[in-house]
Amino acid sequence: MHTVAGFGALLLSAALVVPTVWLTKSRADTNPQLADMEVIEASLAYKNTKAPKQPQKERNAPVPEVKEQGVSRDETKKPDEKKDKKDEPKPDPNEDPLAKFRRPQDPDLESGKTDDQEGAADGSELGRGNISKGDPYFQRLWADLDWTVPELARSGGLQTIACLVFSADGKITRTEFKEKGDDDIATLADKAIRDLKDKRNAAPEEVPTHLLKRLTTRGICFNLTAK
Amino acid sequence: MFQSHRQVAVSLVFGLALSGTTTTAVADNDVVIDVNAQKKGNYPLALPLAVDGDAVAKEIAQVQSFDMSVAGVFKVLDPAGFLADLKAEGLGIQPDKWKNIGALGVIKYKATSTDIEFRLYEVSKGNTAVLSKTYKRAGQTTRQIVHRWCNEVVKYYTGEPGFFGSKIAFAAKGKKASAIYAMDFDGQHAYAVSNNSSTNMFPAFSPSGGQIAYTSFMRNNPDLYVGPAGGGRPKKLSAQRGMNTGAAWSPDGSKIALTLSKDGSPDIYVINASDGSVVRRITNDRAIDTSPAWSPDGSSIAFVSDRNGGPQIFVAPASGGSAKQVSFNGSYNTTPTWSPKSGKRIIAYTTRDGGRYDIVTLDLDTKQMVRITQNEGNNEEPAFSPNGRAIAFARAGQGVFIANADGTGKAVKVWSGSATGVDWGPAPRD
Repeated sequence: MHTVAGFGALLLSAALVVPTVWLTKSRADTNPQLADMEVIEASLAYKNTKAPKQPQKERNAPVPEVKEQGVSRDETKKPDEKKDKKDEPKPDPNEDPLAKFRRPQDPDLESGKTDDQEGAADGSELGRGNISKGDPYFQRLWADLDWTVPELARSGGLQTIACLVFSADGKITRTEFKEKGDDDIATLADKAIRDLKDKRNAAPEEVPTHLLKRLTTRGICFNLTAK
Repeated sequence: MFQSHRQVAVSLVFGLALSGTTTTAVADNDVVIDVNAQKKGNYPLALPLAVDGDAVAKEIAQVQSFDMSVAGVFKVLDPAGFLADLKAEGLGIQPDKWKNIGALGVIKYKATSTDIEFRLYEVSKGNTAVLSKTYKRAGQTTRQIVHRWCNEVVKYYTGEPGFFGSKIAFAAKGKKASAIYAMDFDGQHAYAVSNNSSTNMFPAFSPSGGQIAYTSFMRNNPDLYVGPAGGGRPKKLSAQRGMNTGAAWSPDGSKIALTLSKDGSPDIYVINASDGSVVRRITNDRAIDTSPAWSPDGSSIAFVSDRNGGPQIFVAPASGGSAKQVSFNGSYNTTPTWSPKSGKRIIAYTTRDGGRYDIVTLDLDTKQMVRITQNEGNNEEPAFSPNGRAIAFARAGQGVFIANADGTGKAVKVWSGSATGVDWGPAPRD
């Protein structure tokens, strides 16, 4: 009987103690470890009332300036002399009142004949320069010609003139060198004209009506030089 | 088909940045457009691989292609476009085949166990070589032989010595501090010049190339030392109190310009290269004056000063006198260096633009500026090649690069890793 009672008491104790220990341990595992916790310098928690300040200049209120007000009571003071308007220079009616506001390079100040040499080489028909008045078709052709000459290229001094004939749809049907030397310029010209032909034939630009006869019969020539 | 043209009196001319045209109407209504290009850009050069194509031939092709591509005057053509029958050509050329791909020059070579033979052709002059050389292989590496040949080619075309085989010095960070290194201009055969555990910086080749001056903290003060360019024990040359930095040799090698702060603020001084004694003081103001660079004719010294606000480039007479500001672009311009080209007064320097550092050149006479780098990291501390055709510089965090001094082409990396204070030595002696 006693044995049974003792065994029951032991079982009851175990049933109470084991869950308590297990629950306590489990909770401790979820709490952050000390090493993982953020360390805050204790001194930061307090506001230092004696923190250093930037040096300040000593400032005193300025002494107010006493201005004379009202009419002068000085009986000995002479009245201000009035300026004689006759002495002042009269304004020139032809003078531009805005002249002093203009910059020295103001284009509005230019006068006389305009510079005919200026103009955009973009094939635009608009503009006042001579080149702008050139045929846009030739301008675009010139732009497509990649004529670059390296610094070390040797020139024999002979002219290199290449001529092109077009079909109406803008393809280059024939190229011919009217004059050609045997120097680097000639070699580069060969390639430049060949590349121009390939470029134009890949994406031809229709010859405009007013140039049709010229470009499909006589053609156009480039005189290729370098300086 | 085409009728001859006759020029009429009126010639309409307009100019563009690179080229100009003139249209000349002819009496018979034909049109001749005169296209006049200003000579600029690189010379197209074909470098076909030797027919036998063994390991030596491939090394020759590789070194030659690299040298010519960084020479500053050549455009190496892509071998994929070659039309010529290389086997049939042998050491000769069929000019028309090379003309068709736009080559103006062709180099052929042949390597045997004892010799390497090179031939240069100008395509417009037919199949007769304009320059040919044969080098004995004994006693020199293939790389050295190719460098010598490439120098001959550059001299043939430009009349100037090539820089192949020259050396570049720089400071590179090690585990503890930074050391002075030197290497071939193409990044080969790098070696340490300084041999101490302190910070070493600002190397400068002497005009003969036999010595390198550099600043070292090995005695806990930035003192100036001069040592053999091949490495070895350096001699302390200037140990004034404070800074002894940024050495620049005079063209005759007898003097060195540098920054000293012995009297307070950093100023430019000239000292004797033999004993370090002060010859004269170039600047004397309360601003910071640094980075002196001696002009090739020895008459002027460029340097950096913040006397007018931000750092800008100034030029003063080397004999002493007032300095004149020469850089005006932006608010930050540093590390000037002079082009060695005779008859020209061109400097290269580091400029800050849009938060980045880039290399530019400035012609002091024409005021023309050329941008050498752009949108490619931070680029600093330029140094001209001995013939002025190329510029070496440090790109932060990447290494040492070489670019054409005329601003064309793309920069080529020759050293990977940290590098500062780049300096280019003299042309190699043949």
